[in-house]
Amino acid sequence: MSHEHDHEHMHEHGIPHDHEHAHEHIHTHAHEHTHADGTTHTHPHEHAHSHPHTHEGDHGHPHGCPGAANCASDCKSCDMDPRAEIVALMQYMVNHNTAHANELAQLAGRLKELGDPAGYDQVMQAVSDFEKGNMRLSTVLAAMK
Amino acid sequence: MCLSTVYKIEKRPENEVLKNVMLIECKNGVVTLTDIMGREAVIEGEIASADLTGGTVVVRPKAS
Repeated sequence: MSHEHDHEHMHEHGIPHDHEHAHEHIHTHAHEHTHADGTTHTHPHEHAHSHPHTHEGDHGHPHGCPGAANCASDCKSCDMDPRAEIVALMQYMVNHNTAHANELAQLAGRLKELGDPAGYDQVMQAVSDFEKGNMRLSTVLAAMK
Repeated sequence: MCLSTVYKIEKRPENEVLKNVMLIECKNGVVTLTDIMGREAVIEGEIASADLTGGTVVVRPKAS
């Protein structure tokens, strides 16, 4: 089956679009066929298939906020709260730092296994300092929420 | 595990598509980017490179 169509459709984020993308959908239609015993009749069939659509030129676009790349500068092109983004980024970084502290502690453990207790102590001291800084960030974050 | 900035064609400020990208999905020739706030950008094309220590991803859009 080959045809063209132009319609509005939804992405996973729920924002409707009026341009085309490749996607699958189901068509229902009837067509006549003949069985081995000579009986000929029609009944409906469903076919699922995809249509490769062609776009004109480059198609990169942010969805939901045309100024997404500069949101922190409060571009006011949407109702997104810049402070909420800062809080989200800080939360991400606090979690990220915790993960890195754990990874550094594992590296320290490997130094100890390799017979370098002084290296182990130094790295673990750095991990402790790192965690103190992250704790301070976490406190700030809690106050911002 | 760091957030990335995604660019089209090459890493240049004017080519920036989305910052703080936490999820990249590639399916059927479409690259879908999601940032930490849940905003999405969709590009028809493919990932040309991903610098995971530099937090930079370059997407090569589908040729028109």
